[in-house]
Amino acid sequence: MQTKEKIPLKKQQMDTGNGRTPQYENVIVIKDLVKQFDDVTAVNGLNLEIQKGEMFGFLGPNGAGKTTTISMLCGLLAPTAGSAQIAGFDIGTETQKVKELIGVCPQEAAVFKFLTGMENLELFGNLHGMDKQVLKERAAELVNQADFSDAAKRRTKGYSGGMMRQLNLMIALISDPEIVFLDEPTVGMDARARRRTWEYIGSLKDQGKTVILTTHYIEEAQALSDRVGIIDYGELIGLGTSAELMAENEAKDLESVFLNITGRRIAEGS
Amino acid sequence: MKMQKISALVGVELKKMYRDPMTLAVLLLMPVGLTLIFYLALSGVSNDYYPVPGMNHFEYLLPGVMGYAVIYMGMMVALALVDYRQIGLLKRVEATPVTSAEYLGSLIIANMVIATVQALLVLLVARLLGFEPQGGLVGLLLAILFIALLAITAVGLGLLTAGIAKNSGVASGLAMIFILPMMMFGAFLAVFDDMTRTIARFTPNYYVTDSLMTIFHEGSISRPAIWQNLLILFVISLVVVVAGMQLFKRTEFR
Repeated sequence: MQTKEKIPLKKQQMDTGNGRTPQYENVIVIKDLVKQFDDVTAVNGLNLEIQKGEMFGFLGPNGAGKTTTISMLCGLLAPTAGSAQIAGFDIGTETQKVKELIGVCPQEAAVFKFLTGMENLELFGNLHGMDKQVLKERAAELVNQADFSDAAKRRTKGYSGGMMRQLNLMIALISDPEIVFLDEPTVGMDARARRRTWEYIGSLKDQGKTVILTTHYIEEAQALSDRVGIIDYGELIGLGTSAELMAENEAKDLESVFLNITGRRIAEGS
Repeated sequence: MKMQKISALVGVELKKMYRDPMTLAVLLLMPVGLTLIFYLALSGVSNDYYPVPGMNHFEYLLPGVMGYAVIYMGMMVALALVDYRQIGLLKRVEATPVTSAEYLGSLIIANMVIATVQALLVLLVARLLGFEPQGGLVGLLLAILFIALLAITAVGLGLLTAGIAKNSGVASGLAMIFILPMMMFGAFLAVFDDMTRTIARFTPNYYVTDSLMTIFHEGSISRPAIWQNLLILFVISLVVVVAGMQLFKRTEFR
């Protein structure tokens, strides 16, 4: 029995403007979000809504503002201007509530190297205030699903890069979060491990989780995402399903769309 | 403030101590080794200056060794935090529902425990080598209180160092700025003349060494100087740890 009180997702009042009942609940609402570092604008007036249970692919070239956006949504960076709500909780004023709802898989394989894989999982479960028994079961479930049982008993110091990435992802999921941020989760994995991780990430949608996935593997975004947002210079320059974006840009695949619209901005000098 | 989170984080720091060879060497093996070396080198040396007749130099310096072990803790805290920051672990912990107070509080508790173990270990080894501490159980508890306050100060110095240093090389160098004077004046040299004693008063471990000498050598726990030292050390630890927390929070936690 989990003692941690599950926070119910707040209902979003979606103004459709036509009096119709909204089909989905927006679990992430971003309004005019800005992040400035000295004279560099990393995120520039971002507006975005992500629906509950949606797998959202967040694409962009290096330094486009993807990680900065995710850091703000996770409560790790304060926005310079604008606002964002996660499940109805403001990221600036209700940060603790937001952190209780989310799981974050950062770009770096950030684990305690002197702990075993299982100890790392248990630690982060405890930091989420999980009940001991629930935590034990959840950790065992994750480890078994990933075929990681033997590795989980060993200290992470001896892990390969791919094993670190697997553990990194499991830590993000240990608290069974409703919203998961995956920042480049498959970087450094070999093709087989990457394919298996894609399947696993795909299964999160079946569990009703909302997933925000940033990746440089555009085929990954195309295969997994319900919708894709393309960000460049801190601005959202493309948004829709892969099919919509391909049709809009008369492109054969998402990679062509990406190269087309990010390249066009370079050519236009914007 | 959730005890579950704090105890989990304290557990991590304690596991780091005994699983990481460098941390184990600096925090536990070095003080024991130093005690043995001091015994071998100094147990045959004596001086009329000492407050207890027949006392040897090893016994005289032992309270300084107990405090000496704790001062390296500041460097270890700084190195660990800089390492955690570099590999993204601090951000990861920050992305959980752990508050900065819970995280930094757990750091203080873990290091107070480690400092107590260090001091008791040094005392145990010294006892086996023939040192007879005075002051009884109350004296021992009072000594542990001094050591715990020094550990808080060390954590504060570690936080200040980690708040300034961008990498472990800089952190080690910065840590030496406070370790060397504490080692030279606070732990071992304070006793030799008035001038070194005056300089030593600017180092927090001087108040520990001075008080532990009174407790363990003379068995006096009621002397006003001990309580005055305790008050000064309490104020120093409070100021240093609050300053360290503020600086570290500004660079790491929102």
